[in-house]
Amino acid sequence: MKHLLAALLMMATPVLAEDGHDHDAPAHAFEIGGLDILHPWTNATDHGPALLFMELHNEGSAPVEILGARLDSGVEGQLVGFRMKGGEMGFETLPPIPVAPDRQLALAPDGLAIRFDGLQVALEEGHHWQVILMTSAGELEIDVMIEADDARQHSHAGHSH
Amino acid sequence: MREIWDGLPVLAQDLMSAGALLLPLLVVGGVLLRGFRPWSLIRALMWRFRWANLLFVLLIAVSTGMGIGLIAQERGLRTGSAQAAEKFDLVVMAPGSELTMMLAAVFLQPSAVPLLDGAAYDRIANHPQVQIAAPVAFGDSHDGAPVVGTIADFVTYLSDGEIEGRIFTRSGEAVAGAAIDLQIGDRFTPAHGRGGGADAEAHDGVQIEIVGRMARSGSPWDRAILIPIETVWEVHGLANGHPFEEGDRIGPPFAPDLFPGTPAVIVHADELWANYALRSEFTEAGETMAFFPGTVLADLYRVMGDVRQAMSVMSVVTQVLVAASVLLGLFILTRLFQRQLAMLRALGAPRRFVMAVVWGYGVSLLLAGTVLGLAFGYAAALVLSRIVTERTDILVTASISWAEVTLALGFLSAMSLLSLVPALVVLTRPVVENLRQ
Repeated sequence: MKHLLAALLMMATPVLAEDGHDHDAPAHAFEIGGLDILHPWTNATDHGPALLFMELHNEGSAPVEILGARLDSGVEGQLVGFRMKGGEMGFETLPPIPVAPDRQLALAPDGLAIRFDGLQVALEEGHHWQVILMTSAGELEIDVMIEADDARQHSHAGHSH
Repeated sequence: MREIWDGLPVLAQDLMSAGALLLPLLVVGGVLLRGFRPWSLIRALMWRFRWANLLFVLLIAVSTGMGIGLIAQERGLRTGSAQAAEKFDLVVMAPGSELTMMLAAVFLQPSAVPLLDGAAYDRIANHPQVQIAAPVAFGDSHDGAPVVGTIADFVTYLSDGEIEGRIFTRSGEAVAGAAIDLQIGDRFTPAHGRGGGADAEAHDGVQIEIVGRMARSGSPWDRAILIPIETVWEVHGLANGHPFEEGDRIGPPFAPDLFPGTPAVIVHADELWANYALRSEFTEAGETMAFFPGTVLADLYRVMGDVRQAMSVMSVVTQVLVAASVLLGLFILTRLFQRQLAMLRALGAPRRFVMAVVWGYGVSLLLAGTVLGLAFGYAAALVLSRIVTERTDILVTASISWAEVTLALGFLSAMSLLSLVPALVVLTRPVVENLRQ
């Protein structure tokens, strides 16, 4: 059922693109080693840290570890987890997280994220950001949508693509 | 520049902020008081109009104390509720409201929620990353305290193993929270339901013995009585999760087809990262949903953050009103001793000296009021904390942080600048006319 749903999601992309989306609009779905990456996004920010969110689904037959991410400039992003500690909200650095076959993993606000510190440029709402996702299956350049600074989800979340 | 600032320790940032706020006060004071010794005159003015001055100081203290007390209390409640939820890494429930379930499972507020079946519990409990999968069962009470069914491992985890007596080992035994007024060896009969509608006779004949007591945790679980989940099921006439041939055994594993259901499973994983993977895995459309109580609280705090901002605005408005009153009061007070000031000027005192006396007098009152206001604020937060802790069992501790100190210093500094106005006005009044009055 999940495979069918994922296949439908992937097939729906060009249909929706013709149906009002800009043909040059960046993709919202990526794949490496059987790992589907859907709706990568971040919040606009003048200065770091930037938190990278996305939905992951392992359609392959082997586990894929999420190691982190990096930018062309060399800045590295680390996996972090939101946590309440001593009554204060904060993030803790996490080791690589495996996504088992046929399992999902959501990187979402107040949960899991890839955090970039020390960004040199501002991330402006409505623009896109090129990030290289690092996994045990290899590296993949993904196009990250920059949402409003107070957004809580990708603006296309819930859409069928 | 910002990077340098961000790289400083928090204490250094706070101290520098406080210093920056006090800078205008120190600069004005330095310029006005340099070379003069006006303090004996200021002391004399203080004593001569002591009752008016005392009233003035109290007015400043109460107004600053109110703002400080409310902000400190809001922070205390936020920190206390977060600490109360810290042991609850991940909660798995049937699809529904996360907030309702968090209030039920973490803060033990009564609510009607759908149940997870034995198959769902089995899937969670047998996941290789799950260390503790604690089913919970609510609904009964004793003397107003919730009686919660769960498993022994969760009681040990919740209390960090700090249990006086021992953990329950068979159905019909209980471990009491630290705030429960029952001693080890006491027996009780649970009432069906909680609050005014609880039926004290529904479980007649059932006797549960207290065999242990948990150390205080500062959460509503301090006022709960924990019993084996099998006992809850048995007293309600349900299967107890185990086949007959297992005898009196309690705790997991449970037979899925004999598992009556649980409103929530509290999950603990050894590895922090595993919780995030488990949340994704246990969130299955139409079957189960998993959430972090910390995340729900963070959402709540965002709403509370808006309330906090509203409170801060109200506090600032109050301070502005007080500032206007203080200014008006200083004008009135300087009118009270304008004859003495005119005498000073007639004797040849420099204009800056007269200004220094009036300004120093005003700032002394403001300083006394602000310091007393911090004490009032702390006392108010202390009283409010006790009331909230008493009513919610969430351990709320009162403390004055840099946020409150900064608020008070900002008020003191701004008012010290405004106090220059009455000091300048005094100089514009004709000396001879004032001497005749």
